[in-house]
Amino acid sequence: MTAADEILSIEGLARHFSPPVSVTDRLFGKKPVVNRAVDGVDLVLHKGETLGLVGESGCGKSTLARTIVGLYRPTTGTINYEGEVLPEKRTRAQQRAIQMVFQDPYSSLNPRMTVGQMLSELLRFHKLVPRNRVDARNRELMHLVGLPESALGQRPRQFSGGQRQRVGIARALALEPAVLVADEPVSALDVSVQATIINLLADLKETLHLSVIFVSHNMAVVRQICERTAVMYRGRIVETGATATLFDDPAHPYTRLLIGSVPRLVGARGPVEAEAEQTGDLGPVREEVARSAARDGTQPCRFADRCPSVVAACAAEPPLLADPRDARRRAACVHISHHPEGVIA
Amino acid sequence: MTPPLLEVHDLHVDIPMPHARLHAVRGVSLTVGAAESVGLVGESGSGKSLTLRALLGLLPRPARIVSGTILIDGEDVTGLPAKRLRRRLADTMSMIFQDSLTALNPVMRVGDQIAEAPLRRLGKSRGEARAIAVDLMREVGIADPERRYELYPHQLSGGMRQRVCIAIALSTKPRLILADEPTTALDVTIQAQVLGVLRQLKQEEHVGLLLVSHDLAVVSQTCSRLYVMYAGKVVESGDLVDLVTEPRHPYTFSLLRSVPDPDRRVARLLTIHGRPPDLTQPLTGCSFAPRCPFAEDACRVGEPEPVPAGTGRLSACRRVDTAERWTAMAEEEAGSTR
Ligand SMILES: Nc1ncnc2c1ncn2[C@@H]1O[C@H](COP(=O)(O)OP(=O)(O)OP(=O)(O)O)[C@@H](O)[C@H]1O
Ligand SMILES: Nc1ncnc2c1ncn2[C@@H]1O[C@H](COP(=O)(O)OP(=O)(O)OP(=O)(O)O)[C@@H](O)[C@H]1O
Ligand code: SF4
Ligand SMILES: [Mg+2]
Ligand SMILES: [Mg+2]
Repeated sequence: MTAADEILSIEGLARHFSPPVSVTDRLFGKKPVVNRAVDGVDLVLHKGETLGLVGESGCGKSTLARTIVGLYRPTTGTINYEGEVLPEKRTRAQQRAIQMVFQDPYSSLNPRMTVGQMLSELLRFHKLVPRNRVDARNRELMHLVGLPESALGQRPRQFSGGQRQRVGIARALALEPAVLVADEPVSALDVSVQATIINLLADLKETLHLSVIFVSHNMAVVRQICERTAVMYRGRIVETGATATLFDDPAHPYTRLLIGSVPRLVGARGPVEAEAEQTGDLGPVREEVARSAARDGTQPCRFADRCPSVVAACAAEPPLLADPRDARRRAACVHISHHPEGVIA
Repeated sequence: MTPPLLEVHDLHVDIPMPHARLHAVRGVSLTVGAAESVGLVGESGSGKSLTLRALLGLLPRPARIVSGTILIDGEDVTGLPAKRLRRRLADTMSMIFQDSLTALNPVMRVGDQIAEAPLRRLGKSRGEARAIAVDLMREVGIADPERRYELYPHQLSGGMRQRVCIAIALSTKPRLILADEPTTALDVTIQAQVLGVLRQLKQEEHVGLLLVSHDLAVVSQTCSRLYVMYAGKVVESGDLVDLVTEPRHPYTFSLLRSVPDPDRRVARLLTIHGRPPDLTQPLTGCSFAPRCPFAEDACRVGEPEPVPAGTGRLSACRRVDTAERWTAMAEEEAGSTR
């Protein structure tokens, strides 16, 4: 079921990676350890919004992003685009509709082709404009991303980091997508350049009516450009909500740790210190959680081994539930359903 | 008055290139007092890492120190014979790097790597060195150090590895730690922990810190004084709070306005247009002039010298006397181009 204002809706999406099994392992019946990079994600992207996707390194952000654009096949689950389930083999129109911008545009660009050649090839392949309009469209794309027309004659290595990112964005825009999935598009850039790319993405979103998924580990950047934010932890979304609410009043303990850890300039709130490592008197609770999970065959909450608010009930993984305090946000924590009045232990 | 622990005067570092010479560090002067935490920030390529490495004689090839003096406790050590100089520097300071994985020996147990200096340099017995290593691991917040002593680098998380690096740096009993982006490769939650360890070292062990970072917020949580570098020079220095609240150089001013704030959304981030100058070419004026929102013709003739800009502050800007009006000027500018 997809509401009219949802351009993408993702249900129960998983993407697992299994290492190749060697002959000896198979002989001894050893099971390969499956890496559950994305492990049951529910997420919607509304029309015209920018959705931030944050979380620690290795939590599965890039894997989710790549699965959404079709670079990886889902292990299970579905992705709906404009109310239709995307088939395993996407049509050309569906491929075009969801485009990706990479962290390191260099690795995604052909070093031997000029920007003009690369764009022309794309435009012709997808038959996006009549042949005699290709050059004009190329120039238009350069204007869109703030590069001089002369850039069309240059090869990727002749650009600075920021310019290269503009080329990467131009390439994605050439296909006239409705959804842009940007995976850490400014993480490799210097602060001053970072700001220009952030502003560019914000402008493009407005003028081209794009819907954007913005993957980043930089919380401050997410605060600037994302209306909504989703927090990912070990393969799952643990909290989603309006960015301002999520930052100012995080519901999930992991979100609280994450937001609290962001370094601030002097005068502002300090970081939550070393909360995660202090197992101290929570040791018995964590052991209890592990014991009853083993006994009942449940999967404990993924954050239970680091969570400062862990209780015995965390032995069964909580689902992503609407927060009774604010129906527009959801969090996956036992304290959400157990404490409808608000204060989270 | 006791002289500062470390003083650097007019440090120049060059990098010979096939057809040119890159003047990467162009006369950096700085001081760090005993048990003081000092930050060094600046744009990528501004010469922060080279400055830090030059202090320990760890410059990458083919970079070399052209001139400059280093004083330790007020004594000029620059003239010492090479071997004694290195010894003197290494006894005073140690360094931690951004990438803990390449900084560590992959085939040696982490505990032994920490015990190495006590064993070889401080002449301790094996048992003593091991005990020292275990204590250091505990000090930097590694839980269960006896067990983790036996592990190899790849068996530890990034944050744990960086703690091991800090423990190794501490194993020579330095009075000053030089840290080059020590938390840049870490997740924010882990970064907060490692910064906590660095703060604690200063408070409890009185170890000084010279912290290089491109992230003003990181420095702001760890340091009390700040140097801002641009194009191979220190363009502004002073008390961190003063500098962050009332910048006295247009680069610092612009940098502060282009850094996003996690607690507040702004309509639009300020950007610094253009790129830093090519340091293989001689400069004709202020190195920031081509990108500076407040530059006037005078700025393009001769490089400005650092001048006093308040208590304990220096700024290498010719228009520093107009600093109070910069915010208004920038806003006017933004309004007119919108
Ligand atoms: N192609 C692949 N084959 C096997 N494992 C993979 C592959 N891509 C990712 N993984 C694994 O999946 C997990 C999630 O990785 P992913 O790159 O999605 O994380 P991330 O959140 O993007 O992290 P980062 O912030 O470091 O970019 C990791 O354990 C990673 O090693
Ligand atoms: N080994 C080297 N060979 C050639 N050039 C070098 C070398 N090391 C540094 N440089 C150049 O010297 C200048 C200063 O480099 P440095 O590493 O000190 O910058 P930085 O301020 O630490 O930047 P970043 O924030 O990117 O680490 C840069 O232009 C860099 O390209
Ligand atoms: S000297 Fe001039 S150009 Fe340089 S920073 Fe100051 S105002 Fe800007
Ligand atoms: Mg990633
Ligand atoms: Mg550096």
